[in-house]
Amino acid sequence: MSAATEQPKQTLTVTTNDNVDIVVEREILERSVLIKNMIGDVGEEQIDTAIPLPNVNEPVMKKVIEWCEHHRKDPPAPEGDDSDSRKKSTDIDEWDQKFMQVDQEMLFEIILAANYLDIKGLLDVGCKTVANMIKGKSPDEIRKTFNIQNDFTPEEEDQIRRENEWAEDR
Amino acid sequence: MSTAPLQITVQNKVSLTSLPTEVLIKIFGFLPSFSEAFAFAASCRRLRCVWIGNTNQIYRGISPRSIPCERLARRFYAVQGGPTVGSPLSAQDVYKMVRNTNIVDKAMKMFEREIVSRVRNADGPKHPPHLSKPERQRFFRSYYHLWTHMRLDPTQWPSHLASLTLKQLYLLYEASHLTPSIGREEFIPPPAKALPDADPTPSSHTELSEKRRVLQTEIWRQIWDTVERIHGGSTPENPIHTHSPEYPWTEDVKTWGYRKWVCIWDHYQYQFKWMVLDRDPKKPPPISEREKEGLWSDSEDEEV
Repeated sequence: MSAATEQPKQTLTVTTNDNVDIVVEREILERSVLIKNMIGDVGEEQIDTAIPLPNVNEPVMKKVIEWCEHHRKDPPAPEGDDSDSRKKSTDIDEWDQKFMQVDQEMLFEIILAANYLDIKGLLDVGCKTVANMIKGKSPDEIRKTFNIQNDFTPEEEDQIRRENEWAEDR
Repeated sequence: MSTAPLQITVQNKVSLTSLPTEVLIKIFGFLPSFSEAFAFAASCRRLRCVWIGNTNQIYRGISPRSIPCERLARRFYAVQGGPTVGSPLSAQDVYKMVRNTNIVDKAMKMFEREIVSRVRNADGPKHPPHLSKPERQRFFRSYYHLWTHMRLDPTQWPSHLASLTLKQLYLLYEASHLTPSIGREEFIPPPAKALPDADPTPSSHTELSEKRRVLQTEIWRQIWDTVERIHGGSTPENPIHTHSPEYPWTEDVKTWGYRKWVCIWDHYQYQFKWMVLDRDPKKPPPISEREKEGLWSDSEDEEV
Protein backbone atom coordinates (compact mmCIF):
# COMPACT_ATOMS: atom_id res chain seq x y z
CA MET A 1 0.00 0.00 0.00
CA SER A 2 1.23 3.49 -0.75
CA ALA A 3 0.40 4.66 2.80
CA ALA A 4 2.85 2.11 4.21
CA THR A 5 5.68 3.34 1.96
CA GLU A 6 5.01 7.02 2.52
CA GLN A 7 7.91 8.83 4.18
CA PRO A 8 7.04 10.49 7.51
CA LYS A 9 6.83 14.23 7.06
CA GLN A 10 9.72 16.04 8.66
CA THR A 11 8.72 18.56 11.29
CA LEU A 12 10.51 21.55 12.82
CA THR A 13 9.88 23.57 15.96
CA VAL A 14 9.70 27.35 16.11
CA THR A 15 9.66 29.35 19.33
CA THR A 16 7.62 32.53 19.19
CA ASN A 17 8.44 35.69 21.17
CA ASP A 18 5.87 34.76 23.82
CA ASN A 19 7.83 31.55 24.41
CA VAL A 20 5.48 29.11 22.74
CA ASP A 21 6.89 26.17 20.78
CA ILE A 22 4.98 25.30 17.63
CA VAL A 23 5.73 22.13 15.68
CA VAL A 24 5.21 22.54 11.94
CA GLU A 25 5.94 20.49 8.82
CA ARG A 26 9.23 21.58 7.28
CA GLU A 27 7.69 22.01 3.81
CA ILE A 28 5.17 24.47 5.23
CA LEU A 29 7.75 26.44 7.20
CA GLU A 30 10.00 26.68 4.18
CA ARG A 31 7.49 29.01 2.53
CA SER A 32 9.45 31.50 4.64
CA VAL A 33 12.68 32.43 2.86
CA LEU A 34 14.13 33.53 6.21
CA ILE A 35 13.53 30.12 7.85
CA LYS A 36 14.68 28.24 4.75
CA ASN A 37 17.95 30.18 4.78
CA MET A 38 18.33 29.66 8.54
CA ILE A 39 17.98 25.89 8.06
CA GLY A 40 20.57 26.07 5.28
CA ASP A 41 22.93 28.06 7.51
CA VAL A 42 22.76 25.81 10.60
CA GLY A 43 22.95 22.57 8.60
CA GLU A 44 20.82 19.44 8.66
CA GLU A 45 22.51 18.04 11.80
CA GLN A 46 21.22 20.88 14.01
CA ILE A 47 17.76 20.89 12.56
CA ASP A 48 16.23 19.50 15.75
CA THR A 49 16.95 22.72 17.63
CA ALA A 50 13.94 25.03 17.92
CA ILE A 51 14.11 28.08 15.66
CA PRO A 52 13.63 31.29 17.65
CA LEU A 53 11.32 33.90 16.10
CA PRO A 54 11.80 36.99 18.29
CA ASN A 55 9.54 39.20 16.16
CA VAL A 56 6.40 37.05 15.97
CA ASN A 57 3.96 36.01 18.70
CA GLU A 58 1.96 32.79 18.83
CA PRO A 59 -1.45 33.97 17.50
CA VAL A 60 0.19 35.70 14.54
CA MET A 61 2.48 32.74 13.82
CA LYS A 62 -0.52 30.42 13.83
CA LYS A 63 -2.20 32.63 11.20
CA VAL A 64 1.01 32.66 9.17
CA ILE A 65 1.22 28.86 9.34
CA GLU A 66 -2.43 28.58 8.28
CA TRP A 67 -1.66 30.66 5.20
CA CYS A 68 1.51 28.73 4.41
CA GLU A 69 -0.34 25.44 4.75
CA HIS A 70 -3.02 26.52 2.31
CA HIS A 71 -0.40 27.81 -0.14
CA ARG A 72 2.15 25.02 0.37
CA LYS A 73 1.98 23.93 -3.29
CA ASP A 74 2.19 27.43 -4.77
CA PRO A 75 5.19 27.99 -7.06
CA PRO A 76 8.01 29.97 -5.42
CA ALA A 77 7.71 33.76 -5.70
CA PRO A 78 9.70 35.25 -8.61
CA GLU A 79 12.95 37.01 -7.74
CA GLY A 80 12.99 40.80 -7.69
CA ASP A 81 10.30 43.29 -8.60
CA ASP A 82 9.96 42.54 -12.29
CA SER A 83 7.47 44.31 -14.51
CA ASP A 84 5.44 41.17 -15.23
CA SER A 85 4.58 40.67 -11.58
CA ARG A 86 3.81 44.38 -11.25
CA LYS A 87 1.41 44.21 -14.18
CA LYS A 88 -0.56 41.47 -12.43
CA SER A 89 -3.91 42.44 -11.09
CA THR A 90 -4.43 43.63 -7.56
CA ASP A 91 -7.20 41.05 -7.10
CA ILE A 92 -7.13 38.79 -4.07
CA ASP A 93 -8.47 35.25 -4.34
CA GLU A 94 -11.51 34.28 -2.33
CA TRP A 95 -9.73 32.14 0.28
CA ASP A 96 -7.17 34.89 0.93
CA GLN A 97 -9.94 37.49 1.24
CA LYS A 98 -11.60 35.41 3.95
CA PHE A 99 -8.24 34.74 5.60
CA MET A 100 -7.62 38.48 5.81
CA GLN A 101 -10.95 39.23 7.48
CA VAL A 102 -9.28 40.07 10.79
CA ASP A 103 -9.09 43.23 12.86
CA GLN A 104 -6.65 45.90 11.74
CA GLU A 105 -4.09 45.15 14.39
CA MET A 106 -3.91 41.49 13.38
CA LEU A 107 -3.75 42.51 9.72
CA PHE A 108 -0.73 44.73 10.35
CA GLU A 109 0.86 42.06 12.56
CA ILE A 110 0.49 39.51 9.75
CA ILE A 111 2.04 41.99 7.31
CA LEU A 112 4.96 42.61 9.68
CA ALA A 113 5.47 38.89 10.22
CA ALA A 114 5.33 38.19 6.47
CA ASN A 115 7.88 40.95 5.91
CA TYR A 116 10.17 39.64 8.65
CA LEU A 117 9.82 35.98 7.63
CA ASP A 118 10.18 36.93 3.96
CA ILE A 119 6.97 35.30 2.69
CA LYS A 120 6.33 37.32 -0.45
CA GLY A 121 2.90 35.88 -1.27
CA LEU A 122 1.51 36.60 2.18
CA LEU A 123 3.07 40.07 2.26
CA ASP A 124 1.46 40.84 -1.12
CA VAL A 125 -1.97 39.67 0.05
CA GLY A 126 -1.68 41.79 3.22
CA CYS A 127 -0.61 44.89 1.31
CA LYS A 128 -3.33 44.39 -1.31
CA THR A 129 -5.89 44.11 1.48
CA VAL A 130 -4.79 47.46 2.90
CA ALA A 131 -4.72 48.97 -0.62
CA ASN A 132 -8.32 47.80 -1.13
CA MET A 133 -9.31 49.50 2.13
CA ILE A 134 -7.88 52.79 0.76
CA LYS A 135 -9.58 52.47 -2.66
CA GLY A 136 -11.92 55.35 -3.47
CA LYS A 137 -11.39 57.19 -0.18
CA SER A 138 -10.54 60.83 0.43
CA PRO A 139 -7.61 61.72 2.75
CA ASP A 140 -10.09 62.38 5.52
CA GLU A 141 -11.81 59.02 5.06
CA ILE A 142 -8.41 57.29 5.03
CA ARG A 143 -7.55 58.98 8.35
CA LYS A 144 -10.82 57.80 9.85
CA THR A 145 -10.41 54.24 8.57
CA PHE A 146 -6.90 53.83 9.96
CA ASN A 147 -7.09 56.21 12.90
CA ILE A 148 -4.36 58.45 11.47
CA GLN A 149 -3.78 61.84 13.01
CA ASN A 150 -3.75 64.75 10.58
CA ASP A 151 -0.41 66.40 11.39
CA PHE A 152 -0.35 68.87 8.47
CA THR A 153 -0.77 72.58 9.04
CA PRO A 154 -3.84 74.06 7.29
CA GLU A 155 -1.50 75.79 4.82
CA GLU A 156 0.26 72.53 3.97
CA GLU A 157 -3.04 70.74 3.60
CA ASP A 158 -4.28 73.44 1.27
CA GLN A 159 -1.16 73.27 -0.86
CA ILE A 160 -1.37 69.47 -1.14
CA ARG A 161 -5.06 69.69 -2.07
CA ARG A 162 -4.29 72.20 -4.82
CA GLU A 163 -1.43 70.05 -6.16
CA ASN A 164 -3.66 67.00 -6.29
CA GLU A 165 -6.51 68.89 -7.97
CA TRP A 166 -4.10 70.25 -10.57
CA ALA A 167 -2.74 66.77 -11.34
CA GLU A 168 -6.23 65.35 -11.59
CA ASP A 169 -7.27 68.23 -13.83
CA ARG A 170 -10.30 69.02 -11.69
CA MET B 1 -5.13 54.05 40.01
CA SER B 2 -2.45 54.04 37.36
CA THR B 3 -2.41 54.71 33.65
CA ALA B 4 0.93 52.99 33.06
CA PRO B 5 -0.37 49.59 31.83
CA LEU B 6 -2.73 51.31 29.38
CA GLN B 7 0.17 53.36 27.98
CA ILE B 8 2.20 50.20 27.40
CA THR B 9 -0.70 48.62 25.51
CA VAL B 10 -1.10 51.66 23.29
CA GLN B 11 2.62 51.83 22.52
CA ASN B 12 2.71 48.15 21.50
CA LYS B 13 -0.21 48.46 19.13
CA VAL B 14 0.77 48.24 15.47
CA SER B 15 -0.75 50.93 13.29
CA LEU B 16 -0.63 51.59 9.56
CA THR B 17 1.82 54.46 9.91
CA SER B 18 4.14 52.41 12.10
CA LEU B 19 4.72 49.86 9.32
CA PRO B 20 8.22 49.94 7.82
CA THR B 21 8.80 52.16 4.80
CA GLU B 22 9.34 49.21 2.43
CA VAL B 23 5.90 47.85 3.38
CA LEU B 24 4.22 51.24 2.91
CA ILE B 25 5.86 51.51 -0.53
CA LYS B 26 4.34 48.12 -1.40
CA ILE B 27 0.88 49.29 -0.24
CA PHE B 28 1.23 52.43 -2.36
CA GLY B 29 2.26 50.27 -5.31
CA PHE B 30 -0.88 48.13 -5.07
CA LEU B 31 -3.26 51.11 -5.19
CA PRO B 32 -5.45 51.03 -8.29
CA SER B 33 -4.70 54.57 -9.45
CA PHE B 34 -2.71 57.70 -8.71
CA SER B 35 -5.85 59.38 -7.30
CA GLU B 36 -5.67 56.93 -4.41
CA ALA B 37 -1.90 57.39 -4.07
CA PHE B 38 -2.36 61.18 -3.86
CA ALA B 39 -5.12 60.80 -1.25
CA PHE B 40 -3.06 58.29 0.76
CA ALA B 41 -0.03 60.61 0.70
CA ALA B 42 -2.23 63.52 1.76
CA SER B 43 -3.39 61.84 4.96
CA CYS B 44 -0.31 62.52 7.14
CA ARG B 45 3.33 63.60 7.07
CA ARG B 46 4.74 60.07 7.38
CA LEU B 47 2.86 58.84 4.31
CA ARG B 48 3.69 62.01 2.38
CA CYS B 49 7.40 61.47 3.14
CA VAL B 50 7.17 57.88 1.90
CA TRP B 51 5.51 59.12 -1.32
CA ILE B 52 7.94 61.98 -1.94
CA GLY B 53 11.00 59.89 -1.12
CA ASN B 54 10.02 56.84 -3.16
CA THR B 55 7.91 58.24 -5.99
CA ASN B 56 9.74 56.44 -8.77
CA GLN B 57 9.31 53.01 -7.18
CA ILE B 58 5.64 53.67 -6.43
CA TYR B 59 5.14 54.99 -9.97
CA ARG B 60 6.44 51.71 -11.40
CA GLY B 61 3.87 49.84 -9.33
CA ILE B 62 0.81 51.91 -10.21
CA SER B 63 1.51 53.14 -13.74
CA PRO B 64 0.84 49.85 -15.61
CA ARG B 65 -2.75 50.04 -14.34
CA SER B 66 -3.21 53.78 -14.39
CA ILE B 67 -1.26 55.34 -17.28
CA PRO B 68 -2.51 54.06 -20.65
CA CYS B 69 0.28 53.60 -23.24
CA GLU B 70 2.80 54.35 -20.51
CA ARG B 71 5.94 54.11 -22.65
CA LEU B 72 4.54 56.58 -25.15
CA ALA B 73 3.32 58.83 -22.32
CA ARG B 74 6.89 58.84 -20.94
CA ARG B 75 8.35 59.66 -24.35
CA PHE B 76 5.86 62.50 -24.71
CA TYR B 77 6.70 63.81 -21.25
CA ALA B 78 10.38 63.91 -22.26
CA VAL B 79 9.38 66.08 -25.25
CA GLN B 80 7.42 68.23 -22.81
CA GLY B 81 10.60 68.89 -20.82
CA GLY B 82 10.49 65.97 -18.38
CA PRO B 83 13.40 63.64 -17.66
CA THR B 84 14.59 61.34 -20.41
CA VAL B 85 12.97 57.91 -20.64
CA GLY B 86 14.56 55.58 -18.09
CA SER B 87 15.51 58.38 -15.67
CA PRO B 88 13.77 58.36 -12.29
CA LEU B 89 10.64 60.48 -11.87
CA SER B 90 10.07 62.90 -9.00
CA ALA B 91 6.66 63.54 -7.41
CA GLN B 92 6.32 66.70 -9.53
CA ASP B 93 6.99 64.65 -12.68
CA VAL B 94 4.29 62.17 -11.70
CA TYR B 95 1.78 64.99 -11.07
CA LYS B 96 2.50 66.27 -14.60
CA MET B 97 2.23 62.82 -16.19
CA VAL B 98 -1.05 62.15 -14.40
CA ARG B 99 -2.33 65.52 -15.58
CA ASN B 100 -1.36 64.64 -19.16
CA THR B 101 -3.24 61.34 -18.84
CA ASN B 102 -6.31 63.15 -17.56
CA ILE B 103 -6.18 65.65 -20.42
CA VAL B 104 -6.07 62.83 -23.00
CA ASP B 105 -8.76 60.96 -21.09
CA LYS B 106 -11.06 63.99 -21.20
CA ALA B 107 -10.40 64.42 -24.93
CA MET B 108 -11.32 60.76 -25.36
CA LYS B 109 -14.54 61.19 -23.41
CA MET B 110 -15.47 64.18 -25.58
CA PHE B 111 -14.69 62.05 -28.65
CA GLU B 112 -16.97 59.34 -27.25
CA ARG B 113 -19.80 61.82 -26.71
CA GLU B 114 -19.53 63.54 -30.07
CA ILE B 115 -18.26 60.90 -32.45
CA VAL B 116 -18.49 57.36 -31.07
CA SER B 117 -22.17 57.51 -30.30
CA ARG B 118 -22.87 58.38 -33.96
CA VAL B 119 -20.85 55.60 -35.56
CA ARG B 120 -22.58 52.73 -37.25
CA ASN B 121 -21.06 49.44 -38.45
CA ALA B 122 -21.56 48.26 -41.99
CA ASP B 123 -24.38 46.03 -40.79
CA GLY B 124 -26.25 48.92 -39.27
CA PRO B 125 -26.10 48.55 -35.50
CA LYS B 126 -24.65 51.41 -33.61
CA HIS B 127 -21.21 51.34 -32.12
CA PRO B 128 -21.46 50.99 -28.32
CA PRO B 129 -21.28 54.39 -26.60
CA HIS B 130 -17.74 53.82 -25.34
CA LEU B 131 -14.52 52.91 -27.08
CA SER B 132 -13.39 49.33 -26.65
CA LYS B 133 -10.06 48.69 -24.95
CA PRO B 134 -8.12 48.39 -28.26
CA GLU B 135 -9.88 51.49 -29.65
CA ARG B 136 -8.99 53.35 -26.47
CA GLN B 137 -5.36 52.34 -26.91
CA ARG B 138 -5.42 53.54 -30.52
CA PHE B 139 -6.90 56.86 -29.38
CA PHE B 140 -4.32 57.39 -26.63
CA ARG B 141 -1.40 56.47 -28.88
CA SER B 142 -2.57 58.71 -31.72
CA TYR B 143 -3.27 61.58 -29.35
CA TYR B 144 0.21 61.38 -27.81
CA HIS B 145 1.76 61.27 -31.30
CA LEU B 146 -0.30 64.28 -32.30
CA TRP B 147 0.50 66.21 -29.12
CA THR B 148 4.21 65.40 -29.58
CA HIS B 149 4.19 66.83 -33.11
CA MET B 150 2.25 69.91 -32.04
CA ARG B 151 4.97 70.59 -29.48
CA LEU B 152 7.87 69.99 -31.85
CA ASP B 153 9.29 72.55 -34.22
CA PRO B 154 8.10 71.72 -37.77
CA THR B 155 11.73 71.18 -38.82
CA GLN B 156 11.72 68.10 -36.52
CA TRP B 157 8.57 66.61 -38.06
CA PRO B 158 10.08 64.68 -40.99
CA SER B 159 12.35 62.49 -38.85
CA HIS B 160 9.61 61.88 -36.28
CA LEU B 161 6.97 61.05 -38.87
CA ALA B 162 9.38 58.76 -40.72
CA SER B 163 9.80 56.73 -37.52
CA LEU B 164 6.07 55.88 -37.39
CA THR B 165 4.55 52.79 -38.96
CA LEU B 166 2.17 53.16 -41.85
CA LYS B 167 -0.68 52.02 -39.62
CA GLN B 168 0.16 54.64 -37.02
CA LEU B 169 0.48 57.33 -39.69
CA TYR B 170 -3.07 56.66 -40.85
CA LEU B 171 -4.33 56.79 -37.28
CA LEU B 172 -2.38 59.99 -36.68
CA TYR B 173 -3.87 61.50 -39.81
CA GLU B 174 -7.34 60.79 -38.48
CA ALA B 175 -6.47 62.14 -35.04
CA SER B 176 -5.17 65.35 -36.61
CA HIS B 177 -8.82 66.18 -37.37
CA LEU B 178 -9.76 66.38 -33.68
CA THR B 179 -11.09 69.85 -33.19
CA PRO B 180 -10.56 70.58 -29.50
CA SER B 181 -7.24 72.25 -28.69
CA ILE B 182 -4.59 69.54 -28.46
CA GLY B 183 -3.30 69.32 -24.90
CA ARG B 184 -5.18 72.59 -24.28
CA GLU B 185 -2.04 74.32 -25.56
CA GLU B 186 -3.13 74.96 -29.12
CA PHE B 187 -4.95 78.11 -30.15
CA ILE B 188 -8.02 77.19 -32.16
CA PRO B 189 -9.47 80.12 -34.05
CA PRO B 190 -13.17 80.66 -33.38
CA PRO B 191 -15.65 79.89 -36.18
CA ALA B 192 -15.62 82.69 -38.75
CA LYS B 193 -19.37 83.00 -38.73
CA ALA B 194 -21.69 81.32 -36.28
CA LEU B 195 -24.76 80.21 -38.15
CA PRO B 196 -27.96 79.98 -36.10
CA ASP B 197 -28.71 76.42 -37.21
CA ALA B 198 -25.11 75.20 -37.10
CA ASP B 199 -24.26 72.05 -35.18
CA PRO B 200 -23.06 73.44 -31.84
CA THR B 201 -20.67 70.57 -31.01
CA PRO B 202 -17.00 71.57 -31.09
CA SER B 203 -16.23 68.61 -33.34
CA SER B 204 -18.33 70.14 -36.08
CA HIS B 205 -16.10 73.19 -36.34
CA THR B 206 -13.82 73.11 -39.30
CA GLU B 207 -11.29 75.60 -37.93
CA LEU B 208 -7.89 74.25 -37.02
CA SER B 209 -4.70 76.08 -36.16
CA GLU B 210 -2.35 76.87 -39.01
CA LYS B 211 0.29 74.59 -37.50
CA ARG B 212 -2.16 71.69 -37.44
CA ARG B 213 -3.08 72.23 -41.08
CA VAL B 214 0.57 72.18 -42.10
CA LEU B 215 1.08 69.06 -39.97
CA GLN B 216 -1.82 67.31 -41.69
CA THR B 217 -0.18 67.94 -45.06
CA GLU B 218 3.13 66.61 -43.73
CA ILE B 219 1.50 63.46 -42.33
CA TRP B 220 -0.17 62.81 -45.62
CA ARG B 221 3.10 63.35 -47.50
CA GLN B 222 4.79 60.87 -45.16
CA ILE B 223 2.02 58.32 -45.77
CA TRP B 224 2.75 58.43 -49.47
CA ASP B 225 6.51 58.32 -48.92
CA THR B 226 6.07 55.24 -46.74
CA VAL B 227 3.76 53.54 -49.24
CA GLU B 228 6.28 54.23 -52.00
CA ARG B 229 9.18 52.99 -49.89
CA ILE B 230 7.44 49.77 -48.92
CA HIS B 231 5.75 48.85 -52.18
CA GLY B 232 8.27 50.37 -54.52
CA GLY B 233 5.64 52.17 -56.52
CA SER B 234 2.86 50.85 -58.69
CA THR B 235 3.52 48.27 -61.41
CA PRO B 236 1.06 46.38 -63.62
CA GLU B 237 1.84 43.21 -61.60
CA ASN B 238 1.55 44.92 -58.27
CA PRO B 239 -0.93 47.77 -58.57
CA ILE B 240 -1.07 50.08 -55.61
CA HIS B 241 -4.56 51.34 -55.04
CA THR B 242 -4.89 54.90 -56.01
CA HIS B 243 -6.56 57.04 -53.40
CA SER B 244 -7.41 60.66 -53.44
CA PRO B 245 -4.60 62.45 -51.60
CA GLU B 246 -7.16 64.69 -49.99
CA TYR B 247 -9.06 62.02 -48.22
CA PRO B 248 -8.32 58.43 -49.07
CA TRP B 249 -11.14 56.51 -47.53
CA THR B 250 -14.18 58.71 -48.04
CA GLU B 251 -16.40 55.85 -49.17
CA ASP B 252 -15.28 53.63 -46.31
CA VAL B 253 -15.98 56.38 -43.80
CA LYS B 254 -19.54 56.64 -45.08
CA THR B 255 -20.03 52.91 -44.66
CA TRP B 256 -17.95 52.12 -41.64
CA GLY B 257 -17.29 55.32 -39.74
CA TYR B 258 -18.33 58.85 -39.00
CA ARG B 259 -16.87 62.19 -40.14
CA LYS B 260 -13.12 61.61 -40.42
CA TRP B 261 -12.77 58.47 -38.35
CA VAL B 262 -12.69 54.93 -39.62
CA CYS B 263 -9.25 53.37 -38.97
CA ILE B 264 -9.72 53.56 -35.21
CA TRP B 265 -12.74 51.24 -35.05
CA ASP B 266 -12.42 47.57 -34.23
CA HIS B 267 -15.01 46.73 -36.88
CA TYR B 268 -12.79 48.28 -39.58
CA GLN B 269 -9.55 46.49 -38.65
CA TYR B 270 -9.85 43.82 -41.35
CA GLN B 271 -10.32 46.44 -44.08
CA PHE B 272 -7.70 48.66 -42.46
CA LYS B 273 -5.21 45.83 -42.55
CA TRP B 274 -5.69 45.39 -46.28
CA MET B 275 -5.62 49.12 -46.81
CA VAL B 276 -2.22 49.24 -45.11
CA LEU B 277 -1.10 46.23 -47.11
CA ASP B 278 -2.43 48.01 -50.17
CA ARG B 279 -4.08 45.00 -51.74
CA ASP B 280 -7.61 44.44 -52.97
CA PRO B 281 -9.63 43.37 -49.91
CA LYS B 282 -11.72 41.06 -52.08
CA LYS B 283 -8.67 39.06 -53.15
CA PRO B 284 -6.27 39.07 -50.23
CA PRO B 285 -2.99 37.43 -51.23
CA PRO B 286 -0.93 35.55 -48.64
CA ILE B 287 1.00 37.99 -46.51
CA SER B 288 4.72 37.51 -46.87
CA GLU B 289 6.95 37.64 -43.82
CA ARG B 290 8.42 40.89 -45.11
CA GLU B 291 4.98 42.45 -45.21
CA LYS B 292 4.08 41.18 -41.78
CA GLU B 293 7.24 42.65 -40.36
CA GLY B 294 7.01 46.00 -42.08
CA LEU B 295 3.35 46.71 -42.47
CA TRP B 296 1.18 45.31 -39.79
CA SER B 297 2.71 43.22 -37.05
CA ASP B 298 5.11 45.91 -36.00
CA SER B 299 2.90 47.56 -33.41
CA GLU B 300 4.20 47.81 -29.89
CA ASP B 301 2.96 45.09 -27.58
CA GLU B 302 1.05 47.55 -25.45
CA GLU B 303 -1.05 48.74 -28.38
CA VAL B 304 -3.68 46.01 -28.47
